[in-house]
Amino acid sequence: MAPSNAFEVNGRTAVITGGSSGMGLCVARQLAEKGASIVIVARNEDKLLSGIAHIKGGALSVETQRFHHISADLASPSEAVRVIDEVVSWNSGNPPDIVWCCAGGAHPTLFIDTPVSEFPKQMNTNYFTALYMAHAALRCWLVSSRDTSAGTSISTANKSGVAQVIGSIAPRHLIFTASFVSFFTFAGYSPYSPGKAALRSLSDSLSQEMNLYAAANPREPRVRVHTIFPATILTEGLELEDRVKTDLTKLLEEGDTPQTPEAIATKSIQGLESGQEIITTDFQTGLVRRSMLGGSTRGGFLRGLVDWFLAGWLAIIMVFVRGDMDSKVQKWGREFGASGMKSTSSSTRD
Amino acid sequence: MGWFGHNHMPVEGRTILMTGGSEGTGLCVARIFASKGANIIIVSRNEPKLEEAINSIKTTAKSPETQRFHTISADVAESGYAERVVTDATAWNNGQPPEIVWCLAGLSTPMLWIDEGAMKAARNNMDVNYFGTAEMSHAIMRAWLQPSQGAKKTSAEKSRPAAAKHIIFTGSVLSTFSLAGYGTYAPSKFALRALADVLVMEVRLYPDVPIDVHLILPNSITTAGYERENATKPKITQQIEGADKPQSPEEVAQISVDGLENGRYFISTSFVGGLMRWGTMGNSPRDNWFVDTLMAWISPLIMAFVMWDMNSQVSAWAKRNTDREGLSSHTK
Repeated sequence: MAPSNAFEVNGRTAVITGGSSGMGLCVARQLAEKGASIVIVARNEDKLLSGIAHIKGGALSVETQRFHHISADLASPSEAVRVIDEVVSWNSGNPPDIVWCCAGGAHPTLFIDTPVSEFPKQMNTNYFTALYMAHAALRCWLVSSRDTSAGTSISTANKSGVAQVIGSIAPRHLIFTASFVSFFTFAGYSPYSPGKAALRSLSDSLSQEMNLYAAANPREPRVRVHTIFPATILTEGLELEDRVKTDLTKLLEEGDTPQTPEAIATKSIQGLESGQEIITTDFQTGLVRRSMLGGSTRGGFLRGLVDWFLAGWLAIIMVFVRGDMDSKVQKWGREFGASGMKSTSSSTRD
Repeated sequence: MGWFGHNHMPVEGRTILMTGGSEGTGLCVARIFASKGANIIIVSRNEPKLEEAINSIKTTAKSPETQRFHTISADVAESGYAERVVTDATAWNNGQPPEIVWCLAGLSTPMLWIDEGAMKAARNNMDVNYFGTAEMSHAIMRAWLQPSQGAKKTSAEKSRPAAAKHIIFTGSVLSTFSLAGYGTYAPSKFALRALADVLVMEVRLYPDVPIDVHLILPNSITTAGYERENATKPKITQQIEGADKPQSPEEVAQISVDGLENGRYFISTSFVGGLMRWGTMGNSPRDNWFVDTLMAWISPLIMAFVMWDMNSQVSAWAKRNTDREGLSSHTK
């Protein structure tokens, strides 16, 4: 165990949306391996059942850890509330300690070739599911805790012997999964990247607001807000994505090395354990993050200094990166026409 | 980069469609364009407001005998509204879709995350601010790039090289920077910025139909919308925004039009707004690579202090405003 672990999960309860496949499933399993009790949420009951079986297989202590699954379509706010309520009652009246939103997926097609109905679908899958879960979780943590007398609202799931210093309460964690394209978007991602950019903005606002609550309620567990920014992940979701993706977008993405969901989960957890709020899982995403720092320079003075140094360099590098992408797109348009695909002929006709 | 004196967006004799054109900045923008000789279409929900607005716009017309004016009533938050508006506008405009489209319809309902009504506000802000603009840009770009069988080029158009069409988004400084209390609003503006960044790249696929994309990034604007915004805004948000000086809609409209005529992609309307933007240039197109690079060096340094100060203010405010029931009422 790391000397100072900012993301203690042993004996605690975690809820993972999108937890029946891809990154969410790997996250759930790795948290189970570290001793957490797990609830996974997704739409498909069969996938949830096989997911839970896989997660249980990694449990650190099968006798004390508990596992649960909930089938829900989180695109509606009432579903998220139902999920949290169900978790609390399953967890002996205690709120979960960790809520990690992994549900999401991309439909990367060119803007005018995308049916207009796809845009709200993408925003629902990638943004609103996380927004509703975040709201339900935060209301549970910040509003209802005021109704119980001080101290008894703390989770009693510490049976695995994790020592707790009297007066110091382990923080709760709200984790979003955004994307490389939150920082750096390009042709083909118009249905997807706005939702991921919106997620980044939401997590920034919430992180600031949590300072407000922490200051107002110093005796209650702090809520920490984290966001993971992975690039391409080798999952079932990626296969679906690649079926609609244009050849042009594939060309522009060439420099990206896809990672396994296991690797993403491991790196994310490492970032969380070292206390980071903005977590990237590969070198390139780490770089582009510095080009879009805005108000997100968190993590202490030294980290801020490194960020700033890199930000300056990224600023000039991006001029060339953008210029290169723009000319690739322009050349493509002239050579292959407007469809973004290599095989079909020519541009739109009138 | 804009050449000195060259107008990248001439509007005389051309037709411009504006959503949110019946009040606030949209109305000011429409008046400016009317005074430059454009044909004007304004879109909004409220018909009496549209009537009043179009009469006000007509009074600034450069050539009232030849310029034409039209209103279309629509709710930008309604799914599918944009196709209908573009069809209506095209029919009115002699079978040609408007050449310039500016989406100004927007609202802001800032509130703290655990406030009652935060989810409704979040959904509504996304529907009006993001989808209102996304759907309109989708409908108009399809009209420009995939014209229906019925649309014909006028013989004049065929012989003239195509002047660029323009699509203009109204973002916000909160497209580049998030604040406590804006969790319901800023994500919709971040989403707009991401969409603009993609579209300005995708339009290069269609060299036969040049389209310029622009994103305006204003700070606070003193309009009726601003009054409504302040009704829900948490006190702490008002405090951390304190240094921001709101601008009049006339000023924002003029600065925006100047920026468009200079051919800029990003148009910040104040130096502070520029600072916020320079902190998050990412891979967006540069209007002036030298200034944008230099300021990208300097801005994070400044923003680090700004954030540190803001976070301290938030903590201090919370301590001062907490009573036995927890955080005291934070709006009024």
